[in-house]
Amino acid sequence: MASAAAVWMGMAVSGAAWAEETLRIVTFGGSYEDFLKERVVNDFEKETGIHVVLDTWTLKIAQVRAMVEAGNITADLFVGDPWDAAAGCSEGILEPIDPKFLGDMSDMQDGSVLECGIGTHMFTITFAWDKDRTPNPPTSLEGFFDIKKYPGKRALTSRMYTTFEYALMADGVPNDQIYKVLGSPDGLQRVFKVLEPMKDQIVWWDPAQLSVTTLTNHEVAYSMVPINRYFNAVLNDNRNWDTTWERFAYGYDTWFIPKDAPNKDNAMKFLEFMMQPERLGALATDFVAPPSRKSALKFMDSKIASKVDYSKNPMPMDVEFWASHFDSFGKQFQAWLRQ
Amino acid sequence: MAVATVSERTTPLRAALGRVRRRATLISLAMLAPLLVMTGLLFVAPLANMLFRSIDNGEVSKAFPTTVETLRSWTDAPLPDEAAFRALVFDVRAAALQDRSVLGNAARRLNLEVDGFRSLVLSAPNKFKTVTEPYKKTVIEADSRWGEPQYWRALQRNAHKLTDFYFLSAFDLKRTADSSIVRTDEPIFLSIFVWSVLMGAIVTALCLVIAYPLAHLLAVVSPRVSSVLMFFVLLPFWTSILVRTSSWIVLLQREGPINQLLQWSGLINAPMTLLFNRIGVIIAMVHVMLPFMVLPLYSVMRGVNPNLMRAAYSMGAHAVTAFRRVYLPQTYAGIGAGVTLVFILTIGYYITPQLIGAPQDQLISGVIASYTSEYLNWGLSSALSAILLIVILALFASLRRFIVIGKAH
Repeated sequence: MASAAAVWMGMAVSGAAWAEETLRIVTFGGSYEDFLKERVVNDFEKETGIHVVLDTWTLKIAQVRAMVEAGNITADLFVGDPWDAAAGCSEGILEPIDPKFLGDMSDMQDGSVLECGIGTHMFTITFAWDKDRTPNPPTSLEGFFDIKKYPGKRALTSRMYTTFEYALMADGVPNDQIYKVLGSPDGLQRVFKVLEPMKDQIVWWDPAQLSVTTLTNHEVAYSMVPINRYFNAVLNDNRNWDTTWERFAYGYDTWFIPKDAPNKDNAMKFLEFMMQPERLGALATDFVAPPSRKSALKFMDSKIASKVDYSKNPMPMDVEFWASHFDSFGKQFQAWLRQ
Repeated sequence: MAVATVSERTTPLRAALGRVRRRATLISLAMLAPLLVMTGLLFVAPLANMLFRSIDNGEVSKAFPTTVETLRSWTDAPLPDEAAFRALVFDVRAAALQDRSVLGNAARRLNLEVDGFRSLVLSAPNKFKTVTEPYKKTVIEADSRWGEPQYWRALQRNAHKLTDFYFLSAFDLKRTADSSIVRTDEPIFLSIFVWSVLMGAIVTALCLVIAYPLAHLLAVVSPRVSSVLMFFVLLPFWTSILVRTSSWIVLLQREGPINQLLQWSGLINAPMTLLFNRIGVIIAMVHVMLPFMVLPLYSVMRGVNPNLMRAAYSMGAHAVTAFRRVYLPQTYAGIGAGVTLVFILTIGYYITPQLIGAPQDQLISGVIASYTSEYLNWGLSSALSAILLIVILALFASLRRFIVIGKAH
């Protein structure tokens, strides 16, 4: 809350200097912001004359809610998690987005267009390991949850999503049954049964940076690493890591507009500009993440695209499922952790 | 007679003095005004808002006004009557025409009562498009979940604009369908409160044991040595908390310097797990909190007259006795202040446990933060905050006695 207030006040102060044609975009920051600026923002400013101000957030949707409840909307466009876009949409704190501007909807990947959000690039979390230290890694997802056959600590995300899906996959649940099983009365118990034998061998990460540092520090043998961080480690930091694409769950980085955003029209113009296949494909190269638009794939650098094998057994994450179950799962998960 | 004259003369003087005093009071109040207004705006108002959120329950009655009114007459029947189903359809259609937050907020609130209620409410406007009389039959046909009493009981429970739901949740309690209070299936918050208080006690005790001799040393050595030592005590204050915490991650990791040193010295064979568990949290927290214990102790110890100890020795007291009966009582004020500060700060601290501890090692403040920003359950985070506030005020009130006792000596 304190950080939300700080961001919010900071925005309000700098807000005094607003020009008439402005667009305030809030992203993950870091290299994401750099690539976005280079590939999209600079051209957008030149072409439209709209001044773009970039800001960073920590993906806590509470910030958007506080903003809308206070009636002080100081940003026009956010990029964040799809379930937050779904939950925020039903709560009425986000603007519905008319997908008409995308044209042919069959060009969009499943799950990338929401009522109040437009997905741009795929994200996933995969198991990674250090090849020097782990010469005989598991070849299937089951192996990562089989502590007897493949000993060594695991770093899993404590944010629940993907961890729970993968545990069920390892337990033999087919992709199209995952959410049916997870939502059934003893679905969570089945997840905990898979995790129980390795409970004391799990390091739970929450700031996503820990997924990388636990592996570089040899704190764990296997880590669930967000794919962009995995490629950053392999391509930029020359880590001798490997991962598997045997089975994985994915979602899309999703853009949304807070309700009554002052520059809503400019935000829509920006979305349209960014969603052009060529720009979306170029960004996909930078993010090492396939685009949500099928026609944009050919503009992604083929060398980079070949490093990810998304063809095998991907499962789209159920955004609405998580928006409905996050709260009660959170309590049961915390209770299980404390047992 | 003379006395009366004096009092007659003093009366105007007293009045004049009173005027001057009143003016001075007014001036100082005026000077304090900005502070008071700021405290009111930035402290009291948000606090009151937070406390209100913990009992606020307007969402359901706003979206389903006639339904909750109709459900008042529903008692033992397995399902409510036709009138309730008609009211539901009416309310859903009316709410769908309003701002989408009306139905959305009710959906979020009801989802806390019954997992999955959110999707039932949000899909209702679409599914109710074609329902007609008899409503009971067609509504259940549109979505069979409306045939389950648990959803209706949840609606019925939330007819009031105020609720004890969040406070009950914060104590791991809930209301059943017949309104009796039982324990929840996944009790967590009481154990988090207990762990937070325990953690506060452990860190405070360790800080006291380490800080007491250190503060004594600071008070008795030459000013030059003392200023150098003081620099090291204060150094952590000038370093970012994130930097300090990250440094502990480096030091405590499996192949970090501490484990290497312990293995090299032969004390342990395999590396110890010092990170992402309670040991790590305690080590790092003691380091963070140490200055808050050293400084109050030091300021009190500097004022202790060394002659009193000499007097005790000269009268034949053993070193331990002299310490216990002469020196220690004179430092009670410092102990009281340090213990209060460290204890309260520790319970309210969450950056270090979040980075160094496992999820189950989070203190109550970390849990409040995640309910505020991740789960968006502001009612529950407000209730937890209110309880934390009361616990801290109660502890502060009881610890204050020690400080007063210390001063009396």
